[in-house]
Amino acid sequence: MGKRNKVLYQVLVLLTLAAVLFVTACSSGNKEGGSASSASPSGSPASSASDTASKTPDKKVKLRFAAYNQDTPAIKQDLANFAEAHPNIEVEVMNFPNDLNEYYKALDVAIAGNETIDVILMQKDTAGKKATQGILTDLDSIAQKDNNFDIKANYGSVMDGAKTNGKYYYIPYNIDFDVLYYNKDMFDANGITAYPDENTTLKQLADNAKKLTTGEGANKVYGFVWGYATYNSLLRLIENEGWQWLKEDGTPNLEDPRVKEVFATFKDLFDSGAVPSIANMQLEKMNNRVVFAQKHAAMIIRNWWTPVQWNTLRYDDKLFWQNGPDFKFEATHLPRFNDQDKPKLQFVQPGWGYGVSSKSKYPAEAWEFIKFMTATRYEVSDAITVIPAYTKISDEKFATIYNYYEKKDGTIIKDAYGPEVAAQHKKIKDEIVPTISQFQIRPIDVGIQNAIMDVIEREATEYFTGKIDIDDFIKKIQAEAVKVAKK
Amino acid sequence: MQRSNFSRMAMKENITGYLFILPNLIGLTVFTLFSLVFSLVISFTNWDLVGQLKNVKFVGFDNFSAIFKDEYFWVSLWNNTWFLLAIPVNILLALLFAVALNKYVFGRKSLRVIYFLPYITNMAAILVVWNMLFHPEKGPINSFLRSLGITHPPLWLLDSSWAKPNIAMFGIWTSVGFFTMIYLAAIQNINKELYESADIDGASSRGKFVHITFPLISPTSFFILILSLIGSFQQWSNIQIMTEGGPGKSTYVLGFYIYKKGFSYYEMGYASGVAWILFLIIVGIMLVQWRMQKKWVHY
Repeated sequence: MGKRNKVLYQVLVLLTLAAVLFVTACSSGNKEGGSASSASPSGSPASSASDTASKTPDKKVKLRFAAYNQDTPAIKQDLANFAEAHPNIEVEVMNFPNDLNEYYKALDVAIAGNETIDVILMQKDTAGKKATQGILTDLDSIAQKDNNFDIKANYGSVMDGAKTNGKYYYIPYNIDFDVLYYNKDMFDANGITAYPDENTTLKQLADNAKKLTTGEGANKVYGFVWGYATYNSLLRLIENEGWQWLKEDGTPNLEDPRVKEVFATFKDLFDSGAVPSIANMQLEKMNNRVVFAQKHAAMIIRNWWTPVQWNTLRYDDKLFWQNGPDFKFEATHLPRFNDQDKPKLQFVQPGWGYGVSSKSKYPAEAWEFIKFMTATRYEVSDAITVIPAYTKISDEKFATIYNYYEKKDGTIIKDAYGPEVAAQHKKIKDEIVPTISQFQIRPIDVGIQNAIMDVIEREATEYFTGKIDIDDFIKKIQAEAVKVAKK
Repeated sequence: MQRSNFSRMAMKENITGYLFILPNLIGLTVFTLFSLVFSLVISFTNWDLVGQLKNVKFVGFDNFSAIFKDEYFWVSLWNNTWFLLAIPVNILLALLFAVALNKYVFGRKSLRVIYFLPYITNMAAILVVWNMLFHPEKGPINSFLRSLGITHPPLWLLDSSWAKPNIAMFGIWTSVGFFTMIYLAAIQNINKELYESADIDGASSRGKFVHITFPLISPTSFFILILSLIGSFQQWSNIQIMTEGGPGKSTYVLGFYIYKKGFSYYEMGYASGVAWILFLIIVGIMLVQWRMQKKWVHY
């Protein structure tokens, strides 16, 4: 019996060993790759462009592109256009979940597991974090070898906000900025002749919001509907004026008087009924773009993509405007925080973009792909669907963002709004004075920023439901934020 | 010679058996055992989830000592302990429903389906409906309370005093149907002759329940208790959707804390430490329950 147990034990040990070898084989399989052209990260030092650039440009290389939601006809066309322009570069789009959060989780797992990746699609904050972790190659050195390609001249002053430790690690293909939309007819009906413009202050906006609020229940018209269903998003209005999340000493900056003022202003608006509360927006999953289009809001603040979504809701979902917009509306700059602040300031966010993995064997080719996807593709496609960071886009091409729409049934609309909507957005884009970003002054750990934002979200309910006053609220969030910011 | 043949045959049988379970064993080793060991190892490091493993530093017990000094850990543990109060309510309700459904109740088959539906329905869908029901201004619950003369009904998920009870109610509502079915199966398995004997002896309904039903379903009660305890400590997805740990820290629980620390704040080493502490807490409670079952569980 004892001998049999000994044999069984040996068999069990062998099986476990087999399992461990299996795991090792699986993980090393990705490192070495299935084809000769895939990058091999093992043993490679952190890249510098001159070490790893392909020495034979005619040699066909394969780039592995980490991205999500790339299965659209437009992207497929872009990839086909790139392949035509660069026959020596093959791009393989890696298979990641089609959901933003799931994509990032899967991307982190892939990077941690040393999977071969050449180009990564990501947002600005993620790019900053990955740059500090050594996951991305600095693009300045690669651009220098490309006839001294001037990144800032081609992508604008928004690139100041895309730097990490003074270098570029990713190129955004779009920029994101907020716009104030207002219903001109409602202003006229209420006898308000001073329409919002770049000089409007937050107080003036609040006063107008109260005047423009009418009705109850199903007939309610809000004077103003904020665009983002989180309390910490209200601080965007002061971020535009240069407010920073952290002070010089690295502690949270929630005791800044502007924080108190913005929260107090919005509490007053929520309590007066002129603006739906954040809690209501969360519970009802309110989309202020729909509320505005259906004439239940006189003003909204939301990003530039608003008229694009209106096209989807109007042409495909047939939610409203079957015969075109049934009221006059305009777009303008966000309000200034107060009349001491300069107009047109905004913390313009570089949006989604691309970076080169520090383990890529083909950084030069990866750079070509990035340049194409952030600039060239806009010039060659029929229409564009984002506000490019690329500065040299023509007015005609820019107008297609809003006026060109392909319905689900394949019908193409070429003049959804006429020339005004696109012209107003282009004017805002060209006139915006980007605020110097947090990243330029003091890179903030994304984890810490998330933790501080969570503190505001959790504690804000007590203030906005009237359980505590503003001073206690500010003290509480500052104290809690200091605790979570210590890492 | 015969003994040797017998051993060889027995060994062959054993090997065959192991080969049959080999795929499962490999899966268990790779996806469970390896993950467990890996999480234990990184709980002693400062890994931030996305950084390269070669840059990870071993920090010894620093994570664990920081956890025990962390206010959020103790608040989360306290909230988890509070949620344990829902367990006896859940068990009692499930037992009452099961006893009622076992008797002559009109439409009991339809009722079984209705009670079980929340358990199998997608949580996100249920939560949308739940939020609408308990909307502080427009929800039917508060409208009903106002009609009863309560001018300031609770703000439910927006109130730190009511958020926990509301989440506990949600937990009970979604799981009571499942436990009812389990109890119902157990009750229906009790030998009817026992009840007949009790009737002959003149036992009351209460007497039959206390001396026959309850002891004979005690293994089922123990099983439900264990399931509920583990589920209560592991809950986080409903917290994330309903309150994100707020208002304040009133609904911050360990499961949610682990998720936030690991995936939002990029402190995976720390989060792994909390996860292992949670594991030890659950194991400790299970061991206590296992010992105590000798007193009240009858097999």
